[in-house]
Amino acid sequence: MNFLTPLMEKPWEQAGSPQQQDLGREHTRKAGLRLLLAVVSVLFALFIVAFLMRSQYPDWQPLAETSNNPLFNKSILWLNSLYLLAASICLQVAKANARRQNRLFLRFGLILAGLFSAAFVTGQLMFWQQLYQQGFVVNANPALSFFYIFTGLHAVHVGIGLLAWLGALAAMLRNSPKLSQYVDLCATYWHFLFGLWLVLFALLVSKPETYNAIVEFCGLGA
Amino acid sequence: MEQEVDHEMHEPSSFFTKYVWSQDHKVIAIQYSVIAILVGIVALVLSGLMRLQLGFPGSFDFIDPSAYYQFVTMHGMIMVIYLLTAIFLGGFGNYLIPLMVGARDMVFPFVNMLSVWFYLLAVIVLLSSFFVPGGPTGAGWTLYPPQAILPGTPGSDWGIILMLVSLAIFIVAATMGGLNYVTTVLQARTKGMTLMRMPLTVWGIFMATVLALLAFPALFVSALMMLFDKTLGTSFFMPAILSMGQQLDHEGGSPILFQHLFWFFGHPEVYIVALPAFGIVSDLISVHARKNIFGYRLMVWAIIMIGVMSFVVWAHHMYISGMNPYFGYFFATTTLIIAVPTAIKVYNWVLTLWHGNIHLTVPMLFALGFVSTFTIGGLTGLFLGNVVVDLPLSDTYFVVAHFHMVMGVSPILVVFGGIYHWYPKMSGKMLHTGLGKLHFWGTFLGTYMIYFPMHYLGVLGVPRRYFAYENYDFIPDSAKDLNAMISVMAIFVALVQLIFLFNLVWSLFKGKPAGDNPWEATSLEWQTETTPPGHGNWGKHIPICHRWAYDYSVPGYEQDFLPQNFVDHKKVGEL
Repeated sequence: MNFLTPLMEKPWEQAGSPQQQDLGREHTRKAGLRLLLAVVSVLFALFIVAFLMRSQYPDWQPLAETSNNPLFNKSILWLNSLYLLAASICLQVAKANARRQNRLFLRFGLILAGLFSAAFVTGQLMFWQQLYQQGFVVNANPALSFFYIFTGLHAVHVGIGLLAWLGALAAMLRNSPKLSQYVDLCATYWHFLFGLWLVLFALLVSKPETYNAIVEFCGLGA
Repeated sequence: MEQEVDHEMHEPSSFFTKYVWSQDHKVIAIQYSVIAILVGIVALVLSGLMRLQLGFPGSFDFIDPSAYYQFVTMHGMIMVIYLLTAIFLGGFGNYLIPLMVGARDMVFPFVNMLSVWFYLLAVIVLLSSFFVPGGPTGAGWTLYPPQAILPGTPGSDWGIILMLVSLAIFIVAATMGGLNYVTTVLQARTKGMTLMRMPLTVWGIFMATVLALLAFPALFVSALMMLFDKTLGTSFFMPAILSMGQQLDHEGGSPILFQHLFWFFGHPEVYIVALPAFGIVSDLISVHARKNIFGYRLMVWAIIMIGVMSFVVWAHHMYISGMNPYFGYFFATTTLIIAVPTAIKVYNWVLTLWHGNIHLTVPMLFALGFVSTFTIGGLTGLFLGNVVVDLPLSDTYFVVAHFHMVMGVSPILVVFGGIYHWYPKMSGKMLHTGLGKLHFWGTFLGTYMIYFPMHYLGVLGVPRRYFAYENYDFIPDSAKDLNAMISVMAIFVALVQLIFLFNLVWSLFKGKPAGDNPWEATSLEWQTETTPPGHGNWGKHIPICHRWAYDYSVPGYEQDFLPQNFVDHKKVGEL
């Protein structure tokens, strides 16, 4: 099982010559990142469970059923999703070109990824503002409270990613040999963020029947 | 034979980089421990104040019901999270993991440094709640909504907000530390240090860290959602409710949802504290009985088993909250099953002692004290794990006695034992033995005098969480005398801790020099070139591990212990 391989590894076999030692360090960073992603997944999974359990109470109001629901018009959210997808693709391009030693594509990919992510966060904030102006405030209904928590917490994680991105940018300006490693780690993190956003997005705009079915299937009611 | 590795060692030079903004795991460990002990003293004083009220009701004007509940809440929260969790993972984990697995440091030293500073921030935010209007929260350490955030509960204006914010910061700190401990164990072990050769201390801390990484998010979720309910008027946990005659804006929320989230964190938390204690005790018993640990593999699997099981027992804290009877049946069953691996560990400790060459050193005394208190506390856990027995006992002092024995006194005895054991490595000086024995007997007998009678109070039906016990016909006068005695003992035990603090400081300057390996132990932390170990731990060469950590009294050898990096030239092809 792939998941259990870290347990079987003999880390000292990665040590030795200077190159190998550097490889070992990269391996360690990757392991650390995977572990972090596992923790973040647990965090959001628990939020989702709380969301589903709360959706079973009688005062629940769906977010995207009728035209007077806050998320009925999803165009801004779709656009934001595209930004995040673009950021993810840019990092993938940068990562591929880092291996091929293509500096131009690497640099472009890295810079564009940051800009797209910033656009994503800005877009989410604009959507918040729009909701706020329509009177859809955080305590208007429970589903909306969850919407703010989910999008806010997700944006915070994008923000943390942008800090790491700044580190990669600094490595690029210094021409550091560690750049390709950093880009690699950023790419993994961004793919995860994009996937996570899709899950949250899908969950928030689903029909109440979907929630009921999931709750029924997982036995979360009672 | 040692492994040569080029390693850039940037030895810090200034005072600030060496002792304050340090990235060295040993300094960070000591920072964690000192903060934890200081905040623990606050919690100890709070418990003394509580006992003054319970033992001598009405004699102290400054303790009103609000103050009493604030003492209870802060005492519980600080002891469980800010003292025990922090000192086992941040203190012992930081100090011992790299040394025991033969690494030069944690794998992410900068993140490790951030971890301790976030922890300090969390403690400052928590303690600042003593100085805000209304004081700290008095909601009980479980912080159940709706009462936790409603007016009428002490500290419902500022105290609860600061508590929730502090918990969130603590969780960030614990996660940053936890990523380090797990990755270090998986990735930075020295040559030959297979997982099944690691000392049980590392196993215990490792598994506890995994639990912390998976369980703390649940506390984060509940803290964040409650913070929203409190400050933004959402209704995650808040039902429609009348407060002081007024209809509040909340409606439809579920307090039970909070309880599920809280205990999904709260029960693994018990094992986050217990597993490191199990690991450390195993090593203390083996070293000081000069005998290999009995059933090493089973001990490892028991740790793993307990870790996994700890996630499916949480609702046994909620029997009286009301739930589907089948759920109660399920959780009672899992609760009884988790006793099996735990009992295996107790048998193995006893069997390790059997026919051992027992040295009654101070660490050994604490380890033996742990086995005793843990067994007693664990047995009453079997009572409470059954729904029908739990229902009448749940709101009585029986529960207070149970959890203080099993997760208050037991782990703290291990903390003391661990400090007496590793202080020589950390400081280069031995702690004073006579003072140590005085400290042990005072603490051990004193805590028994406190908690053993509490079981009887509980069976009498004396309710817990009450501020005063006047005018209840079913509580006999003798219970009040017993309460007074318990309070006297509590203050006695608190005072005994002064001996320990004095010993810590005094020995640092006047203690006997310890040498590199005063207990003649096998694990790698005792094989460093210098004591205390220098920056990078191992000088030029990283040790290579050739054997498990429990080669004591091996037949055919002159010395009664074989260090993990000992090479036996008589045997060919070892490793």
